[in-house]
Amino acid sequence: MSLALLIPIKVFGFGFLISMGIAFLIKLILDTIKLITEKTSKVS
Amino acid sequence: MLIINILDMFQGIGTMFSQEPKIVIFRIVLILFGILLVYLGAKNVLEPLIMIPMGFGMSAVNAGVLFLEAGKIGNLFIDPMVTDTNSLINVLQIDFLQPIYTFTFSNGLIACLVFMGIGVITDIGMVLAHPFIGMVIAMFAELGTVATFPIAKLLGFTDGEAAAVSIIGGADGPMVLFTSLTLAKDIFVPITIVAYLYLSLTYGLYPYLIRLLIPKELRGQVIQNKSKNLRRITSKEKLIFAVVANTILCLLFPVAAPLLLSFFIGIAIREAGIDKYTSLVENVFLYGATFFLGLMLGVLCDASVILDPKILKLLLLGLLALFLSGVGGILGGYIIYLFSGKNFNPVVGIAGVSCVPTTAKVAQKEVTKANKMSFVMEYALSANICGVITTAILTGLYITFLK
Repeated sequence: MSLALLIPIKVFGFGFLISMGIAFLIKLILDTIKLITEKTSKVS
Repeated sequence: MLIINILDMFQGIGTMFSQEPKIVIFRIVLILFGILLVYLGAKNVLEPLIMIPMGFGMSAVNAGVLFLEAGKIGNLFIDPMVTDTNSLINVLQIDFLQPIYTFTFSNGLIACLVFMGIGVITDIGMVLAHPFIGMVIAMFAELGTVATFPIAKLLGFTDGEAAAVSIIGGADGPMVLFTSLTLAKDIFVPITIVAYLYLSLTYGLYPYLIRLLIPKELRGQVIQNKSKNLRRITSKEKLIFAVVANTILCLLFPVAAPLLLSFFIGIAIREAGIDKYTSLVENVFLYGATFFLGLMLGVLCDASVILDPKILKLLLLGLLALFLSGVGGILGGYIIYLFSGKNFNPVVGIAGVSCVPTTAKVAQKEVTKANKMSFVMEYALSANICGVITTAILTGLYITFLK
């Protein structure tokens, strides 16, 4: 495949994966904080 | 004799008789164009914060041309072509804007300062509330950023130049500046000017694209919030996200680390509640950098420097990139609409084009026109800020692949 097409395909492919990774990371951070808050409130 | 003396006395006019006719004509065109930009900026047709200083700079630099030593023709504003250290030291002491160009422009600092300001005025809570919706729409709104690349290559641009002009599709001025300074230094001035001109036009042109691609009944669609555990995102959560996302993205893209750091530190300052820094970054850094960015782009429009046959192609490619990104964003909006059981307003898609907060405002304005009871601003801002993040990611990827 020509480089002129390969580069944007790679950019979009990796970009999509990383963006979804960040969205997943956001979920993970929020869920973890929620879990910690719930646990600490139960302990106290 | 009298004519010669007058031309010597008023060198701005006198130099017109010593330069090539095509440069003289281009100088006159740019003087008039600069005045037009000031007028359109003052009328709020184009973004006044950029256009007024840019227009002034453009008119002044093309009017204020004079004879320098050894019969050279130039100005007392800036010499962007100087490379060796001795000449640079000389120029720094003569040209009044040279220090700002050398120490803030050519190393990308000015783009980082603007980005820091964007971070400070951005509420990341919208992204945290709807991360997947925002990111999917933002990635679709990068259609112009990827699809313009092969077209630019077909038109004869190098890989770096094609990437720099493609980033216009991300609709993020500092990012275009950073990419073109890194990958296409020879034509960074026309690329950045084209980008800022078009970004000013998005407010006027995107509503037509929305009306063309989305029927009125869909534009008025109300989004029902079905989420059961909807809660307020706290500043602590936003701060944690900023630190983690900054570290991970810097690990992945060290080449874009200055921009990433600037954006996320802006968010951190806001969320940590450091009012003195918030005020410093927003009122001094952001507006100071924006003013000098506009002025610098204007004075870099010296007819003899930017008279380049590639300009017409850049104008076409910039327009194409923003058009494709708008279409891509709306397509992303439709995809979310279909996957969410038709409980979404596809107009939000246009906000994936990361012209913060212009495209989010455009989306809400068009939705309100169709249905006064429909509010999409929360989703639009989420897509908007995700657009900033995805454009930074794509910028990092282009620089990583091509540098």
